[in-house]
Amino acid sequence: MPPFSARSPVRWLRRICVALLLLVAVRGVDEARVFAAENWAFAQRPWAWRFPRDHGNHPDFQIEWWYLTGNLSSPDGAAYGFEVTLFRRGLFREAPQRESHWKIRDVFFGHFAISDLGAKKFFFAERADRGALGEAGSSGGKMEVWVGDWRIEEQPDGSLRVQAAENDRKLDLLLHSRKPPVLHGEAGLSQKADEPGAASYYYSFTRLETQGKFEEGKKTIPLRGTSWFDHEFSSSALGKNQVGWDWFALQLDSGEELMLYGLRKKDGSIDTTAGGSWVEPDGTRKGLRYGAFTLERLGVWKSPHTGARYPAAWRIRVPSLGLVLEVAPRMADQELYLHALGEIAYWEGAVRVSGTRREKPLHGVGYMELTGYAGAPLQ
Amino acid sequence: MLVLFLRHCGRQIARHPAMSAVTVLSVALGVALFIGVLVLNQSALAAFRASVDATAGKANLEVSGDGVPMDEEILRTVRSTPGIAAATPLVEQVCLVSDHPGEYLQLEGIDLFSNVPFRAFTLEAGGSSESDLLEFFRDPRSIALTATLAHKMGVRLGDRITVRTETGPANFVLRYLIEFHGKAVGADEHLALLDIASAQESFGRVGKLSRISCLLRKGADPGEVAASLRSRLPPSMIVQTPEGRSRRVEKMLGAFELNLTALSLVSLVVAMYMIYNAVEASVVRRRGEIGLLRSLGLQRSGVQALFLGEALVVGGIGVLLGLPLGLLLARSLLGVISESVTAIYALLHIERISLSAESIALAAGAGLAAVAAAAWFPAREASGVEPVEAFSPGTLAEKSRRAGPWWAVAAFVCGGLAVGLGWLALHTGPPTLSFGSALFALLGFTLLVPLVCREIAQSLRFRSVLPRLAMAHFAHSLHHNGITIAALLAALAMYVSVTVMIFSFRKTVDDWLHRTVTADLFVAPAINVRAGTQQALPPAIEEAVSSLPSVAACERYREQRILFRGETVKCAALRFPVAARYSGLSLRQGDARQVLAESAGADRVVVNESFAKRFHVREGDQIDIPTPRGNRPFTVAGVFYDYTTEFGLFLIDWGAYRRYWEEDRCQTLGLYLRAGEDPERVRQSLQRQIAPVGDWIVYSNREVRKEVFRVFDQTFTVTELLKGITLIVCASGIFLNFVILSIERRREIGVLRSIGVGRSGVEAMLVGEAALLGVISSLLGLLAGTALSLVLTYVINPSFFGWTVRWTMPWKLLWELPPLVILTAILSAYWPARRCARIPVAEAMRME
Repeated sequence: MPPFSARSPVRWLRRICVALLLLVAVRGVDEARVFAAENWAFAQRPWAWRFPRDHGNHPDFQIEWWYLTGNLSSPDGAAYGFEVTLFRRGLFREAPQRESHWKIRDVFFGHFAISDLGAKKFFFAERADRGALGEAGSSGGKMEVWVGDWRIEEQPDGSLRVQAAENDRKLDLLLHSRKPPVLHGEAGLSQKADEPGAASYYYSFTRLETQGKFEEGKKTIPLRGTSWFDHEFSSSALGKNQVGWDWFALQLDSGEELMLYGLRKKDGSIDTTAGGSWVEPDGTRKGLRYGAFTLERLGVWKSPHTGARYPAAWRIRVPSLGLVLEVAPRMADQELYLHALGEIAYWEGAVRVSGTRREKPLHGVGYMELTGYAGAPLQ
Repeated sequence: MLVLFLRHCGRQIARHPAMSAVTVLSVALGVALFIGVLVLNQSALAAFRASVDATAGKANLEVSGDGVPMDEEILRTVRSTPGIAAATPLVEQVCLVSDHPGEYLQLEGIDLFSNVPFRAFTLEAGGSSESDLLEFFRDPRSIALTATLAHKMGVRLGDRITVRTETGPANFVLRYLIEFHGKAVGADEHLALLDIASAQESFGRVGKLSRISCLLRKGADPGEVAASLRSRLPPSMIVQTPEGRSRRVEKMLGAFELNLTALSLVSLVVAMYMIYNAVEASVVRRRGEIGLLRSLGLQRSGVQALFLGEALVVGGIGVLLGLPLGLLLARSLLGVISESVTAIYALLHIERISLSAESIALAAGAGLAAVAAAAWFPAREASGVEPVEAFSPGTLAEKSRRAGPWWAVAAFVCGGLAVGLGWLALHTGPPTLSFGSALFALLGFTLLVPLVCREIAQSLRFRSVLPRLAMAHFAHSLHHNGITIAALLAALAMYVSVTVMIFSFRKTVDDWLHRTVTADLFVAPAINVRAGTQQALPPAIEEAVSSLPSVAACERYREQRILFRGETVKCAALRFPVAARYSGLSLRQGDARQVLAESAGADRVVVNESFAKRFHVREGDQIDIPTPRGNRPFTVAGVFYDYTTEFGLFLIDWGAYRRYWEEDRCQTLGLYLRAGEDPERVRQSLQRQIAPVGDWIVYSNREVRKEVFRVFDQTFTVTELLKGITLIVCASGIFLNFVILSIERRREIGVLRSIGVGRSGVEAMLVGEAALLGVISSLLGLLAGTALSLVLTYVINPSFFGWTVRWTMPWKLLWELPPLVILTAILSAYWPARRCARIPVAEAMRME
């Protein structure tokens, strides 16, 4: 067992961490026994989507996040990956009737990571705020969510802007979507476990043309590239038998995108709720269910920070599409290990895609998230 | 050589166990006091620092209103200041625990989210049921205590705890135990954590913060960030590093520690003197042995090393004994020190002895260095013994060092230096110069010893033979007697001066209390009595009290600390019109009644003497005082005498205070009763009426006085140790002195005995000499002590604390001390004298 997971004094914080892990990538759900008393709304029926309203927050649901990742490069060819994820986590369904501004309804978290793929340097940071003085929050009806000076918002022209700064690093990007939002699962209802309500509402912008800049110390680097945006809300945690998940968001040079996720069970197998989406260049989506694809692990990368053993690379086969892909990290060490609200570690980073579709060679980039490899199983 | 050395030491210890024991004991005592005080000082600071670290964690900067709640919007300004990477708020209050009488909690309302990067603790929920999740935020009554305090109070997870906050009783449920990490280990066990929202609501401080801890961006300059914060925040906000907060307390504790450290140094000096005498005695007694060794070819340096080594062995045993003794001493004094520090300076609870390898090394090193330094001269004297000289005792010359006129010159030079340094300390500083003044005054008196002794020896002429012989001996043995008298003089002078100073101080405070503290009854929150001024009185209590028919007038008192020109000063709000009419405040210039009445409501302040001295302000000057509404010019309306605090203190009328501090709650009410009312009767009925559960305390004028003197006497308990030291020095010094003298005079005593002088005659002669020694040293000691007390009163006190103490002599001391010293001298000399008188005559004469 990695040393960081065994600290007993953080036991209660680890419980927060359990909650956080749900937030981190709730590709999973539970019957939500912990929060059942709070009367949260559950994702059970298909959602009547309306944009831009649904870019905004959904306070009836307990967990919600806005998530951006991307592969960028500078004019001189230096490659970068980035992740900015902002979470809302509800503590009470109804806002408590209390005098103090510090009373809590929602807690806001953020993770920010930069992968300097040329220099092989990985930087990450985390934030948490209850938003007592308006320093963290989310808006209803439009995309606007912020934790301190980390912010994701919609511009008047419909494009997105993301800003995040930590110490002497500052990221500021403008993102234009080339395709309409893609609704995953059944019209945006994405099942994560067998229990009813163990699902989330989930849509993505799968191809965002991105440009902006990254400041590091006194250096300013102009960046261009492709990003991916997820917005997901639900009120449920991992299923009983689930320990983590693997998630892929791949953008192929030929104009298609592939999103796949698989919830991992204790025995290492993938839960039957696994699924994904294939997005054509014109934005048409083809749903992929368990059985329509296989995920094969290639080799092991052992984290020098946490001792966790992550799959080093993956082979993905989608027979119905004639697709055989190999997904490999563009840089091995893109592990976030966070201490603030409990000991959390997960791998999330830029990947390179190569393979064939119907025998024709294929290339692309993307982002991959691997959770539940570090420390004890979540439950 | 090693064998020789071991034999040399072993023989000395085996043959003279009493003397060795006395020496070991004195070194042990000296080292014990030294390390005890060192450890006490360190423990006090360590406890305070740990508590600062517990809440400040890894913060680089802190913003606070120094006791005045600040608007929570300030947090936004702080967070948006360039260079600030993170900032977390704190809301704190010290409260009594209602269901555990006598216990208090230092409640800290924290924001568990933003304090993540700062945190130096974890919370332990004990059980692991899922419902504990996020309970800290979810349940406003959740509270976390330290395991030690929970254990002490006998509460378990899930138990209820009721505390008395400023606004009323608040119920909490113990949900977590706090575990401190890193530097915060050893933090005050009274720290208790709750969510900031609960803290604001329970303390009646919604919208307010006590403190903001900040973390700087990597590479940001703390000075620059602090400056830019200061420029954005109201001037009454204090921006400092957490170390700065510790340092401010350290500075406040400085004077207190100085006293203790000086005391421990005195004890080391005393130990040095004992070693000197012991080695000297050993040298004198073993002249024959030295001669033998020298004639067998041992070099002079060898002899010196032999004696030095012996001293170090004996001293080393003393050091070894002294270290644990010192720790015991420190442990037993922890409570007293905690309480003194809390009463005078800042809330502090010292739980553990903070012991570092450095302090042990320092104490052991200081002890051994003192031993080596003290043994150096007698050991060198031993090396100077010529073999021939040693074998013929007839040449045992009494090398009386002649007291020439240059001794007097040196004494006067010292006196001059004492005066000069004293003047400098008072007029230019630094205050430490005043200790130089005291040192030179003492040295001056010591230098007078040989002259005075010679004069006395020459002027006292006796008819009978034995007293004459005694006088002659006394004069001849000045090289020993002089040192003994000088040491006694120093110890006595210390004792006398400190006693006189404390007496004067007590008398002055007493007079001042009579004049100034005139209210008949006082009402205050009980926690303020337990932990220093912490809470304000609720308006309801104030109303109930001031509307009583027996109350003629009511003084409202509020005190807080502010940072003025970079130093902590106290600001006290009073009703000037009431003070003008009822209080006996006395001003340096002008009539207090008139000044106070004229200053009511105006931007005028009355400052205490310390304030005036520290900041060089006079009546009529304008000073800029930082207030929450900016720097405001105030006129100094008067300077008053004050002995409550060594801080600068200014009084301000409620009218002006309310205007600039926007605060109206008072901490203490002073009640002036109508003529004919019995304070005790009113007090009892009041106590019954408003404080049935002991949340508020009503105390009478008499009790205030009693409490003031309780704290006063407690603060000076430590100086009582001086008296013990003085008498021990006296006894063992004279004992050793006479051991030496009786050996040097064996031959002479043999002659005396052989020509028919009885044993009792010899004894009487020696004891008489001891009595003379006692007389001279107690008289000179009194004289030097009186002079030193003048230095203490008129130089050290004003320059360190800035207050005027009227010098008063406790006359009792004059007739109490000399008999005590003389008696001790006689008793200590009795045993060596008896032994000396019993020398077989034949053996004594054989030397011839």
